[in-house]
Parts: sequence; C-alpha cells; structure tokens
Amino acid sequence: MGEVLVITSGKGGVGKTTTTANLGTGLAQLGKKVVVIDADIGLRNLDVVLGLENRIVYDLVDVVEGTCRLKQALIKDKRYPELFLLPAAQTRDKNAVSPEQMKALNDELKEIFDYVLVDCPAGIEQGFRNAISGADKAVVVTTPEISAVRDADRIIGLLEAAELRNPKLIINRLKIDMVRRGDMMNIEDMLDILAIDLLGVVPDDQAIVISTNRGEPVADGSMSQAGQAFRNIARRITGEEVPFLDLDLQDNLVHRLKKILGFAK
Amino acid sequence: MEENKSVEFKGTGQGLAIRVHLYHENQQIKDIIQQRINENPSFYKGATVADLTCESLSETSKKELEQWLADEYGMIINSKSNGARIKQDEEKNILPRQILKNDSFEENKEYGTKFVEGTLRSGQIIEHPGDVVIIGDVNPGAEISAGGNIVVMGILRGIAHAGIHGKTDAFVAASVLQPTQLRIHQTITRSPDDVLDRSKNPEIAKLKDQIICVEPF
Amino acid sequence: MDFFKFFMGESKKSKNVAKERLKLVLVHDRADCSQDFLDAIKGDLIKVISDYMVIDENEMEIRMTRTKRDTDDTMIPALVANIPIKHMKDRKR
Repeated sequence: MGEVLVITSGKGGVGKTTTTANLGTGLAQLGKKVVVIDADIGLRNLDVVLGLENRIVYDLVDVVEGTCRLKQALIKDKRYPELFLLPAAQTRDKNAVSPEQMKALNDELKEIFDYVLVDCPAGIEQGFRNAISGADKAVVVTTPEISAVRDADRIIGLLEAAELRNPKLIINRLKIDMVRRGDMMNIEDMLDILAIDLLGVVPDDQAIVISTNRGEPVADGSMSQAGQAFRNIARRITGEEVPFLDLDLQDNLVHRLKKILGFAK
Repeated sequence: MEENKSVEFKGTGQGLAIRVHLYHENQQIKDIIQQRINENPSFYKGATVADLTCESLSETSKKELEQWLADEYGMIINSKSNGARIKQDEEKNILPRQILKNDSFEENKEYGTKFVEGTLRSGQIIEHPGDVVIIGDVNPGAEISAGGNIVVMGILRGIAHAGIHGKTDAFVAASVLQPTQLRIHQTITRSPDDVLDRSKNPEIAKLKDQIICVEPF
Repeated sequence: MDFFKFFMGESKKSKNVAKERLKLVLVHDRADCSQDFLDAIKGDLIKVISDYMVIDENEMEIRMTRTKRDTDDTMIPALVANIPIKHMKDRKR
C-alpha cells in the first residue's frame, strides 16, 4: 500500500511543479514505483517539466469521467520505467473533478504505486480542495519571501483543518549570498514563523531553469546543488536520515545557523 | 476570342471578380454568365461579387446585371461601382468558405470548412465535422479536431487530429509543422524527442499503411 | 523608518524587517479577526467590566492593530479597546 503526498504552497510560482517532478524523479531513482499527478486542471505544466508533453492522449479528467481506463492515461517517463505521469486536462476547469473522485483515484493509485505525488494548483479554491482530497501527507513548498511564507502559513492552517496533520516544509530558492547579507529570511526565520518540520532546503540554482528548458528534472543525475537537494529530500521521504546540505562551504553564517538548528556540529 | 472566355470569373480575397471583355448585349452576357454558373451552381450561389468590370456596358445596364445576379443566384454584390456594402465579418466568413469549399475541399461539402483567424492558444479547442483552416499559429496545448482535413496557415505547435470520424485519407498541412502530437483517425504520432532538425518549410502529414507520413509540399 | 534603519544596523536588515512584518500579518491571519470573533471578545469584556463600571456599549470600539513595543521599537500586534465609561459603580460589596 503506497502513500499519497500532496505538494502544495498556496502562492503560485514558488516551485510546486518543479518540486513534484524532481521528487518523483528522486524517488524513482531509489527504485520506488511512483506516479506524479498534475492536479492543476486547465493549467497543466508537470508534463513539460518532465518533458512528456507530446505523449499525452488521455488525462485525469478522462480517467475520472471514464472516457479511458486509468492505465491508458498513465504516461511512462522517458528515463525511469517506474515513474509515471497522470497529466491534467488542459481544456477543462477545476470543477470537472470532485474531491470524492480524486480520493477514489488516489485510493486506486496507491494500490499500484509506492508513492503518489499530487501537484496541487495555486490558490485555496476548488482545485486545492480536490488536490488534497485523499492525500495521506502534505508537503508545503515556500520561498524566503514574505508573500510566499504568509500563504504557506495559510495553507498549513487549511491542511490542518482538513485533517492533514504535520505537513512538512520545503524551502525553495534560497539565495545564500542574500541570506549572508541579511537581505533574505534564513531557514531559522522561516521555521520560527511557520513552526513545522523542515523536509529540505533547495538553493536557488540556474540549473533548474536549464533543466526545465530541456524537460529533464534536475534531480536526474545532475551535479547541481538543487539536484542534490531534491535527491536528499526524496531519501528523507522514504524515511532515511539524510544530513542537510551544506549550502555554502565558505559561508560560516549558514553553518552557524545550522548549528543553532542542530543540523550540524 | 471564344465566347466563354469573354466573361472571366476570378476568385480574389474579397470575393469574385467578374470581368466582361467583349461588347455584348446585356442578354448575351447574362447567357454566358448563366452558362458558367450552371457548370458549378453551388460554388457561385450566395457568393460575394467584389468587382464587376465591363467596359462595354453603361452604368444602368451594369446595375441591372448586378441586380440580376443577386436575384437569380443570391450573390452579394460588393463592387465599388455599386457602392453596396456588406459587413466586414460577413465578408470574411461567407466568402472564402464558398470559394475554397468547392475548390480543394470537395469531400466535406455537407459540413463546410471552418475558418479560424488568429492564434489558437493553450487550452483552446476547435472542433468541426468538416475541414478546418487556421489562419494563424496553433500554440502548444491548443487542439484542433476535424472530421476532415486540417490546414494551418502558420506554425502548428499544438495537437491536430484530422479525420476524427474515420476519414483515413484526411491530412494535416501547415506552413511549419511542429506539432506536439498528430492524429489521423486513430493513429497517433508525436515529434521525435531530439528536436534538432525540424523543417521550417510547409509540410503535409498523411496516413500511409497505418503510419503517419510527413512530407514537404 | 528609513532614517532609523541607518542607525539600527544589524537588527534592521531587510530580512528582519520582513520577518517582523510577516509575524504581524500572521497574527491577524491566524486570529481570523472576523467581526464575529471581535464581537465575542466585546461581549465578554462588557460582561467583566460591567461589574465595576457602567459603560457606553454602543460607543465601545474594539479592533486589532499594531503598536510599538515599550522596550524597543519593534512593532507588535495589539488588541485595542476603546470603552467610554459613563460612571463608576458603587463598589460597596
């Protein structure tokens, strides 16, 4: 029996889709059977990030409406035979699916897969309610910006209200040099405010843009910091204890912060 | 000059241009026109006449001829001399359909051809049981489903599905053919993953032995 | 504020400004300061205060705001109640 993880953020553009694609890839690398679901109906994107956009014939709405069988809509990844994508419909809207239908779908998928990752749409409306329906755990993605953290806080509240207790936090796009100058909130600041467990920190990395351009997730063998960070997060999801990345070897401040947090000696 | 050449019919962007060359009596001209129209009545019926030139005729006779074309064949007269105006959108919609339907899209007479002007963007779908012509680009995420053929006068980057109801000889043609996916009847193909050598020239995709073949035209 | 920032050094780095502002905003967000919520507080306050004094309930005002902390200049969220007193109750007991 697998596990359904919803990846959410509230605010748009913080990297939910990139995170979903990379965690899917990272988990598949570890030999897990994974399906990533694009729950952003009407604004699908996970397919292009994974480079699978030209293989889509059926989508989530087709499955839910019974136009096709579930297996027909699942798209096998180019690189990992155990990684699958269930794409969103592009020409429908959020109301094409109900939370009950999503739950039934997730229940069916977790019989087959070790991990079901749901890429949640931005916002807190119907699309969000659909995406979290049937999820066992939640991952909240935020960036060190005041607006993203505020929305993350709101989302954490909504998740808890929906009985999704103890969501885990991923801090994305941390700019080490700005943190060092004191011009960006650091890990400690955000954990202080949001008061949830940290699942991982992904540094701001140009490799993300390049890999997205190519449709190859950065976690796929890339030596980049972001790729390493995503692979580590994937391992943490499987329950492995992985030390947090030393994001800047020359930077004592980050090291000091980690010491405060107990992540480093 | 032969008689049937003395009256010239020409399809233009604005409509039919009718040119009368020889000096004939009004009735003679009518007879010649009638003969031409009877060769392909559905083509001319309801067509727009953009220009009617006849050096030989007086203004009054010309007016009479225009009236006759309108009454007899339901043509819309839009010649400059006439001064009759039709609405811009009417002109766009009615006229090219009339001309092209019978010219090169013989097989979908019953449904006609749907013309779409402008860029089709992600999430937009064009569905039509006949042929579809897009005057503009089709972006990734946009979808065209046609019972007949699909012609894109622009870059096709989205999904094109021709012959949805089983017309296996349907084709997809585009000024630049770079679709995410091509489907003809029940056959699906996609662009190769290595996107290096994509043609920038007009191409046409047809079904040959259950395989979609793309060739330049 | 910019004038102060110059002298404040470390504590007024933009990330600290962000953090403070965020904390403040979140208190509002989390408190869900709907009118119902404030009315509930108002009702309870009236109950308590009425034991000691007679107040003008209609003119009473209660709202969430922010204020400077006494010890330093940090902004903190505050619940402000403006309660016009009509007269004190005779507290003989």
